[in-house]
Amino acid sequence: MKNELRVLRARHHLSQAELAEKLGVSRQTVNAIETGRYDPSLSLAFKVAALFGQPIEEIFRAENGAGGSDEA
Amino acid sequence: MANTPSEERSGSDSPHGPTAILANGKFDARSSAGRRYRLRSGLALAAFVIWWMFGSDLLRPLVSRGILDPISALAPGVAFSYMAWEFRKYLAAMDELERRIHMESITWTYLSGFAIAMLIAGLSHVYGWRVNPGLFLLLEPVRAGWLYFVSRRYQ
Repeated sequence: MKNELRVLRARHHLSQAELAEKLGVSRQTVNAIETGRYDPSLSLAFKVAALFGQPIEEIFRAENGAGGSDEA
Repeated sequence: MANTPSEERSGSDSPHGPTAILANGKFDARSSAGRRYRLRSGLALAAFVIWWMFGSDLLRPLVSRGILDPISALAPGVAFSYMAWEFRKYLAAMDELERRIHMESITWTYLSGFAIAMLIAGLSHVYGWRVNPGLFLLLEPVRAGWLYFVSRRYQ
């Protein structure tokens, strides 16, 4: 799964630690999502979408356009 | 706030350092849940070890075997059940990525432990070895190893 988290975070002038605190997760989790090593849970993805005020599908996209990969 | 290059990596503030993982089988206990788990499981383990080494011997002149022996027999199970209960609470309080890493490491420990147990079962059956169930404790360093290995995948 691809995501725009890094771009959105930069646009909102947030560090990974600040974003992590707002989302209630660790900085390592934010880092792992940004680098594509971890796909967030649905509830965390919704939190991200709500925080940046964007639809979830504009932030997270399946890489192959057909449901994405199971691998984190 | 600027996005510093050091943030791109896991960084020096990572709780996923090898020392905590390989020595304790868990991430750094920075959260209150982590500290609580470390304290309570440490106390339970200490109480069990003290009882196992000294308790029953010290009390034997005062208390009958009929009371002491069942307590000694149940002590390991009770102590480790309590630690498992505390570990469950520690897992529940975790960040979702850390919980996933722990669950993956437990899965791998189960799979590798099962394979090793079957190997030992075959050898003990053929050669008449008497295997002590306390050897299950060796699964803890195996889990710590898996925890370290799995955590590297997400960094």
